[in-house]
Amino acid sequence: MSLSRRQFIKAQAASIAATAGGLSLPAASANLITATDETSLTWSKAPCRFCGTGCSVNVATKEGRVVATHGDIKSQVNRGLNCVKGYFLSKIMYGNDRLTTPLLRMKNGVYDKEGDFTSVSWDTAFDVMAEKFKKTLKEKGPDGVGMFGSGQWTVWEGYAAVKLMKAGFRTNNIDPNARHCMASAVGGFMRTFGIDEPMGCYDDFEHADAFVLWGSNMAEMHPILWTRLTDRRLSAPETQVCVLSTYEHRSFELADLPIIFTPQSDLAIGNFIANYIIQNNAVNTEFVNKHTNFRKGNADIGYGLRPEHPLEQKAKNSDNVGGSKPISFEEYAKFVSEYDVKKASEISGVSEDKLIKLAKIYADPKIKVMSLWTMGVNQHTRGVWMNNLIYNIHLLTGKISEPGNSPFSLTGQPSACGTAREVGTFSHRLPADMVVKNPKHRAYAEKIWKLPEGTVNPKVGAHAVLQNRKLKDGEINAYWVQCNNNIQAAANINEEALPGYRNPDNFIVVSDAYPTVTAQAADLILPTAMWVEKEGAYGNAERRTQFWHQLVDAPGEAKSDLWQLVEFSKRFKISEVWPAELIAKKPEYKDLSLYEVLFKNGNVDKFPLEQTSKDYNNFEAKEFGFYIQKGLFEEYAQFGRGHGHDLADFDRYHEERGLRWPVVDGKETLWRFREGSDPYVTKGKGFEFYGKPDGRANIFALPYEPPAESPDEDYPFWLSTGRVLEHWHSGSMTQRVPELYKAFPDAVCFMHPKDAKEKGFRRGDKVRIASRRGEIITRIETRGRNKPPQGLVFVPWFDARQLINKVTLDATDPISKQTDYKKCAIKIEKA
Amino acid sequence: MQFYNHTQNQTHNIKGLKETHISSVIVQAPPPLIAEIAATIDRMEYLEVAVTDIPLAKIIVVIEAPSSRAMSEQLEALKTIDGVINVNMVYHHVESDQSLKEDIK
Repeated sequence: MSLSRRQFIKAQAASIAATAGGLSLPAASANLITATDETSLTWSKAPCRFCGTGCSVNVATKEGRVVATHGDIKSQVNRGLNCVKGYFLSKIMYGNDRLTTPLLRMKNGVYDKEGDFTSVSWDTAFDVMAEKFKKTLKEKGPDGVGMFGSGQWTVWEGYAAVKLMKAGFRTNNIDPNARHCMASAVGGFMRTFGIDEPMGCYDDFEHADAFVLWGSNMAEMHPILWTRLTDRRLSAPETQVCVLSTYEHRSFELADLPIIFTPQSDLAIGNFIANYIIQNNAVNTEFVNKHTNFRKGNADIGYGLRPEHPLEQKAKNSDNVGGSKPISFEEYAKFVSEYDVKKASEISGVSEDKLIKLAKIYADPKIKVMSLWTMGVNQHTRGVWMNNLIYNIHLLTGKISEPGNSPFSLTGQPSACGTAREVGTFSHRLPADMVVKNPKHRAYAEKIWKLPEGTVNPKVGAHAVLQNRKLKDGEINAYWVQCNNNIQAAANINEEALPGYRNPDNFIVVSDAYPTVTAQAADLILPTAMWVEKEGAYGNAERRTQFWHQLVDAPGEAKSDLWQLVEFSKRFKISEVWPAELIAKKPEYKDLSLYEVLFKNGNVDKFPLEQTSKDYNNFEAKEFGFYIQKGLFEEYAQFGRGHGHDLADFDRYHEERGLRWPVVDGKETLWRFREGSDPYVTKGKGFEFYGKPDGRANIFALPYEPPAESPDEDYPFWLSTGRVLEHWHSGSMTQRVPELYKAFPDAVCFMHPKDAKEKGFRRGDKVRIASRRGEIITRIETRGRNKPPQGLVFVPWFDARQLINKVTLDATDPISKQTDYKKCAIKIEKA
Repeated sequence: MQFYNHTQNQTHNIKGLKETHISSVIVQAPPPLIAEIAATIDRMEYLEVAVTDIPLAKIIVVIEAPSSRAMSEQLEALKTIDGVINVNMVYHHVESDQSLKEDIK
C-alpha cells in the first residue's frame, strides 16, 4: 500500500487526538501510532510557560531550536491536551525583536536618564547598576532599593532573589507580580487555615457533583481544567454547573445555573448562602463543633489608596484591617441572618429563585461541590473577605478536603504557588509560609543561611502598589524588575507607575526577553534567557512541583534571571552593604562578597558540576562551577521539610511529571487536612487544620461593603478588565506568535448592543474610554465571546497599544494589597 | 512616552514555500447533539471528522489548511457551532506542500 506523508501525518494527528481524548483509535491509523518518526527530533518534557494549570508538554528540539510541542500524554494534569497557547508554545522564544544584549540609556558615551538605549557589555551594565545600588544603599539604607519579581520566576530564581534582597541588601522591598493576582487568595488561606494553598487537587474534577465558578472564566483562562470539568458534566449527566460573573462569557455555555450579579455583591451572595444553610438546618454540626472557630473581622477597612485619600480618611479601621475577635456560632448566625434572600437579591440583582437554587447546591449533604475562583474574587477590594466567605460555606457544611468537596483557588501564573508563595518572594514573607515580622522565623532563616542574628530586616517592605508610589515619591531610587511587565499590568499607570520610572532620582533596571513597555520605560534593559533556555522548576495551583532541563541555549548575550542575580551579587562586599554592628557578629564575613556569603556558603555550592545531566546543557552550573540549581533547591527545601511543606529530593523531580507537596516518605499528598490522606493529621482526629495552633479553621463574620468607585452621572459605566484565551497576561509572548496574534489582534470594548445603540455606536466604531485618571482609544464589539449586561463593559489588557491600565483605579484590598482590576467608573464617547 | 509597536516583529513560518498545516482537535458537545454537529463539521472547508464517540461526548476533527490563518479561522468557526462547548487542540504540524506529496512506504 502506498501512503503519502500527508495521509500518514493526518492519520497520526487523528490517533494522537483520540488517545488524548480517551477514544478508541480509528482502525486505519491504529498501527501508525508506533510508527517511527523519521524527523530526527529530540523530545523532552517541560511544564507549559503560561498559566497556573501546570500542563506538561513534550518539547521537540532540532539543531538547537525548539521546533514543536504537544501535550504530554503521561501528564496527570493535561493528559495529552493543550490549549491554543500551549499549542504554539514552540514559537514564544523566536520573536524577531528578541533582546540579545544589555541596553543602557546613554548620551555622549555615558549613562544618561534622557539618553537613547545603547548596546553595552554585561560588565558595563553591571558596573553602572552596582554603582547606583551602592550609592542608594549608602544614602538611604536598605529602604532605598527594591525589586519587583514574578510568579513566572523559576523556584530557584525567586529563592536567589529573596536571598539577595532580604539577606544581602537587608531590605524587604521585594514583591512579585503575583501580588496582582494571588495575594487575596493567600490572605484568605492564612486567615481561615493558617497555611497557604488549596487542600484539594485536580482529582476533585472527576469526583464532584456540582461546580460553582465564583468569578472565573475557566473556559478561556484555564481551558484544560475546563475540559476536565466539561468531561465530568457531559459524562455524568446529573452533574450541575453554576457560573457566577458580572458579565456573560464562554463558561456560561455549560452553565445549568447562569448568574450575573452586580459588581461587589458576591459578598452579599456568600453571606446569604451561609444564612440559608443555617436557616435550613444544613449545618454539619459535628464537623463545625470539632474543627472550626468563629470570628468577627474588622469592617470599614478602607480601600488601600494613598492615606490622604478621602476614602481612607473616612475608614474607621484603616489602621487594623486584618483584626478580628472570637464570637460564638449564635453570634455568627445572627450576623448573617441579615442576608436573607430578599436583601441578597436586592444588592446583587440576581433573582431570588436563582439564589435559592445556588444555596441548595451547597446545603444538600448529598451533593459534592467544587467551588472555583480566580481574579473575579481575588482582584477585589474585599478579596480576602470573599475568599473567607467561600471557605465559610464549605466549612459550615463540612464539604472540604474530600474527593469532590473542594474550595479550589485557581492560579494565573505558572509558579505563583511554587515561587511567589512557597519561596515567599513577598515583602512580608520568608520561605514556607514564614514571615519577616516573626522573630523565630527570622532566626530560622538566618540559621539555614549561616548569617548573623539580626541580618533579616523585621520591617515589612513595600508591596507592588506601594513600590510604584515610593518610586514616584523618590523614596525608592534603585529598582530591579524581573520577569514581568508592570508598566502594562499595574493599575493607574499614568499617575502611579510611569512617573516613578521616569523620576530623575531613580535608576530602573528591567530584565526581559522582549522590549516590553516596562523595558522601554527603564534606564537599563538586561536581556533574559526564557523557559527551556535554562533549567527550571515551577509549582502549579494543586501544589505540584515540576522540573525541566535546559533544552536549548539562549540567543546572543541573553542570560537567565538566576545568572543575573548571582553574578550581580559578586559586585558587593559585605562591608559595603551591612552596618558595622552586624559585621561585628561575624567579622570573618567583612571582606567577602555577597556572592561568597549567599551562594558559596557550603549549601548552595554543595553539589558538584558532575551531578548535572549528561544529556542537557546547564549554562549557570558551568558558569559558577557547581550545580547551583540543586544547591539552591536543597537549601530552600530545608525551610519546609517537617513543617507541612515537604518537598522531595531534587533529582526525583527530573524523573516525575511533578509531585504534590507535602511529599512525605516519598509519597505525594492529594487532599490535605483529612486523616488517611494527609500524613500530618493526628491519628483519630478525622480532620485537622494544623495551620492553626488548635487545629481549627476560622469561619468569619464579614459584611457586604460597597466598592471604592461606582458609576455615577459623569462616569456612568462599570469597567472590568481581564484576559482572553489567545493571549497570556500582557501579551509579551503571545502577541509575538503569528497564529495567536491573528486570532485576537487588538483589544476591543465588549458592550451590550442596547448600550451601544443608545450611545449611537456601531460595531467597530472607534471610541474613547475615560476615567478620572486616564483614557484610551479602542473599538466597540457588540458580539462575540463576552456579553456584558447593560451598564458594564469589558476590555482585555493584553494589548500594549491600548493600555487600559491608564484608566483603572489603584484601589487595593487593604488586607492583601491586591489591586481591584474589575471595578471602576468610566465614560465612553465616540473618538 | 512613546512605545514602539512590537506586533510588527513577529516570528515567521517557513519562508518561500507553500505550506500545509495539519492539526487535530477534540470537540466536546452534549451526546444528543454529537451526530448533528459532526455532520456540520464534515461540510466545512478544510475539516474532516475522524472519530465520534457519543457516550464520551467527543468528536475528533482533523484540519488540513493551506495557511495558519485559514486554520485559525476554522478553529474559531468550530467554537461557534451551536452546541459546541469546548475545542481543544492536540497536534499541529506544518510542512511544505512539496514534501507532503512524497510516499513513505
